[in-house]
Amino acid sequence: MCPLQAGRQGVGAARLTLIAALAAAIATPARAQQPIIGLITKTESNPFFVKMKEGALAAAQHDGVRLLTAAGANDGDNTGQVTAMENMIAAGAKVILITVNDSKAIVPAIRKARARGILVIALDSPPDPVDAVDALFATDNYEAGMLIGSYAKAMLGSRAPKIATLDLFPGHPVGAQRHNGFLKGLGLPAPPKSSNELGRPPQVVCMADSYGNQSKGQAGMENCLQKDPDINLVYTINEPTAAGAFKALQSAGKEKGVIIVSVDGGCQGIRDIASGALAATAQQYPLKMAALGVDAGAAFLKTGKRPTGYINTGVTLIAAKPAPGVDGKDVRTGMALCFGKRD
Amino acid sequence: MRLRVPRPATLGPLLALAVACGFFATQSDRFWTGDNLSLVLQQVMVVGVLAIGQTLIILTAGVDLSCGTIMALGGIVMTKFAAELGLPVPAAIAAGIGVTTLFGAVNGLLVSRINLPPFIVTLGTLNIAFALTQLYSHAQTITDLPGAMTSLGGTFHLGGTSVVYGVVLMLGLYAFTWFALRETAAGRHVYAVGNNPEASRLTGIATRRVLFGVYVMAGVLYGVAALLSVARTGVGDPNTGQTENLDAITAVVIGGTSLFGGRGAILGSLVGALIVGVFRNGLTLMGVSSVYQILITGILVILAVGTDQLSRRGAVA
Amino acid sequence: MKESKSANGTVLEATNLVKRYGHVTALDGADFELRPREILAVIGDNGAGKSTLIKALAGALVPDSGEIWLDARRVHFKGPNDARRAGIETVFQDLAVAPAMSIAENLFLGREIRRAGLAGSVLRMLDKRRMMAESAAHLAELRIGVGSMTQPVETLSGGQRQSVAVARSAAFARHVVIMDEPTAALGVKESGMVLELIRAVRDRGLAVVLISHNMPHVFEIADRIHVQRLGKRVAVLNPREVSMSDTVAVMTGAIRPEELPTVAQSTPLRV
Repeated sequence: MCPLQAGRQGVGAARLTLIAALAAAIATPARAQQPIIGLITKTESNPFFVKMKEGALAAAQHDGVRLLTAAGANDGDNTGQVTAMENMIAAGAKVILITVNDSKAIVPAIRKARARGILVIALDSPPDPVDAVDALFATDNYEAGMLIGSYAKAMLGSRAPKIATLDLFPGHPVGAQRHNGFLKGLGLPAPPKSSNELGRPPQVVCMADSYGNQSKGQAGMENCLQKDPDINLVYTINEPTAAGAFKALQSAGKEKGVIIVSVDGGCQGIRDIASGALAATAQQYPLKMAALGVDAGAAFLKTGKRPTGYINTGVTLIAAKPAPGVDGKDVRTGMALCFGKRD
Repeated sequence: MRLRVPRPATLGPLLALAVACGFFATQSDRFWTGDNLSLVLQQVMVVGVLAIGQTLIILTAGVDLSCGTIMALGGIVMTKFAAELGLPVPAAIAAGIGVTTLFGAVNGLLVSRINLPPFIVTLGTLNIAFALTQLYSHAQTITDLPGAMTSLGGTFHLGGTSVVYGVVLMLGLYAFTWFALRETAAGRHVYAVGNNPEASRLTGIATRRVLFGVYVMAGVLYGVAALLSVARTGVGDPNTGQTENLDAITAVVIGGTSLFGGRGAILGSLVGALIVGVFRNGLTLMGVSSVYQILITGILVILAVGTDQLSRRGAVA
Repeated sequence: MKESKSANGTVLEATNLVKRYGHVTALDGADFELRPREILAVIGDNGAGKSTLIKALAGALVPDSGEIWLDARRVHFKGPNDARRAGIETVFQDLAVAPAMSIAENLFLGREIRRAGLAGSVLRMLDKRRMMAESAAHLAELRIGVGSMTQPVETLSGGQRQSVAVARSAAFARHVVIMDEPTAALGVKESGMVLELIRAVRDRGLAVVLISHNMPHVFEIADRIHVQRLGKRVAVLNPREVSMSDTVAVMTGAIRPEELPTVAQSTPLRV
């Protein structure tokens, strides 16, 4: 990844979005009196964050607050998020909701904001240390991994697992947590939740990076199948990657015998479960995260009450075939709760 | 006509590719098989075609940072038109390629007429194309494509392995471009404009037309790359293309084309794309962490640029 | 307004050229006369209007007023391509060559020859063999010694590069070759080579206009010397009859041309 490009794009993209939001804010004098909350997501393009923004906007309208939004240029863009935070505070935001791209690098900016009395709530991904923010509304990505890991274990039964993992890219905490949680759920030795390194027990015969991207996921799966055609279990960082993996398995004629699991719970992913392209996913709730965050922010602005601590917005296993001994929900439930295009 | 030995600038990448293949063949007995090699070709298919357009632009001493995101936009347009608007597949594909060509033309106009630096222009188009892609697709992948749309992803049998049609198209495009650059006046003018734009102008070459033409051609090629990407993955993906921007430039640079313009061979870009693909495939087969793949790509780029400079210094009197 | 010039026999002639840039008058009624098969050196101090005059003749700029005649015909050049089409070639100071490309390619740059038949018209293929052969012939004709036509121009020495640029102009010129400071960047030996080459161009039947600051070189090969001063032609001198120091004095204005003995002044064809 090119830091220079990311930085320039991050600043550019964050600024553009913010200016547009500010222009809209200024153009409506009646609402200029409203208190302002800022939402900064990781990227603009992931449907997860698109849904989060929708949820936040709806909650903001309901709570009578003005919402400013911005995002980093790509996964990992910290500079863009810092700039967005500074600009939002300058615009008068007293509450910042943020899904952090870089859990460590964002902390100084958060601390500076809180020193000025701004309420900062982290959504979806925790900063490091987690008490840098006032509160965290998130899902536990490690738990999400564990859910699909235990599902896979139950579905494998007596078969020995031969695993391919299609990860995000090196060093990303969410990528590491989901991956390691998956291994733990499978009953294999795995690094703890705090680690950013990807565990690699001998049952994992192949690891590749997908950057969360369908075509790279496909290429990674193809290469892994070349390495070991007998892979029977595939962990994927998110559902587009899983779609790519399925395509590769299909081309190799192996899609029937391989279990693919993923995390996210987007509507496309649930559709893939219904069609059999994906065995199971751990569904997360960006709408709920955002709404809770906005509500807490609005409450703070009205009453001065600061939310604290960690509030788990929940993760649910969605699968077409229920696994013995594993708690999960069916496709219909998944479809009702999913984010993205519904039909 | 004597066979011309390729100059060091183009020989180098070929050697590097040969050495890499030899190395990986010793590390994994699955590497040097028809199936695996066919796979590598498929995996570099999209960047390979992007790199053709990028080579043309870099030969004129320009650069195009927007190639991947323009491709993504083209892919979304063609898949949406076919899957959601119900247009017949050829029309949808034409629409997608039309959009990418339009963006290429915009780039070309700004560079050739308004004389803006290509780096800046394409940095802008990169962001515009990305935003338009997100807006038009609502950040959703487009699925349920009509079968005809992905037909280039189909395969045929050649000596025991299956070869993807798209790969044949890519190789054909390389052959065509190689011919045009070598044997036609228009192709030689591309080199001349890159090597010495002032001299080209003074000797009567329509420099502005050459520059514009190169960006438009590239736009068409980005549209073809979009079709290949759709054929390979089976979906219209709004998030594709973001790393391909730099991947295409990397392939061209590793392939020996000079960023200063006027020097380079189109086949070098194919070799450059193959080198990156071979490393990705080989390292995965070896089980080496992907961080090393990124490290090696960076080293290769420096080596490529370095050997090009050194070979030039040796050649000049 | 066409007047037959054939009786007078000038190749390129200009009368009363005026060119102003805002308050600055670069050409103030300048005249010019170039005879067939001669080398005419154009000299003048900075600001004399030398390069403006040459650019007007080469079609690189359009004068505000005045007339230019090529071979007894009035001409109006709107751009350098017009001049080139009329048979006037220019060798620029920076040579205008593409260094990475071969000698043959540079010779035919912008004027490439296509193959006969379908290969040329449909496939637009270049006739490389013919271009190489013709390049070799052009260079041989001017007695320029270079190895192979496929050599990239950047591998040549400064003098050889200059020779290639001169050969290009000579190959395509039909009437006039204009050379702007051809020996400026060259050492003694290479300058000698280029001066010899310029003579060979003249001997082939072309008229040469040579702009130069280098008085020894001017005196070595010029047949006549056009002195430009303050936007006008002040004298045309005979290098065999006038001294170098007197020439420089006329150029700087230290002496008035009338003060020179009549033999030193070259006879004008037209009064």
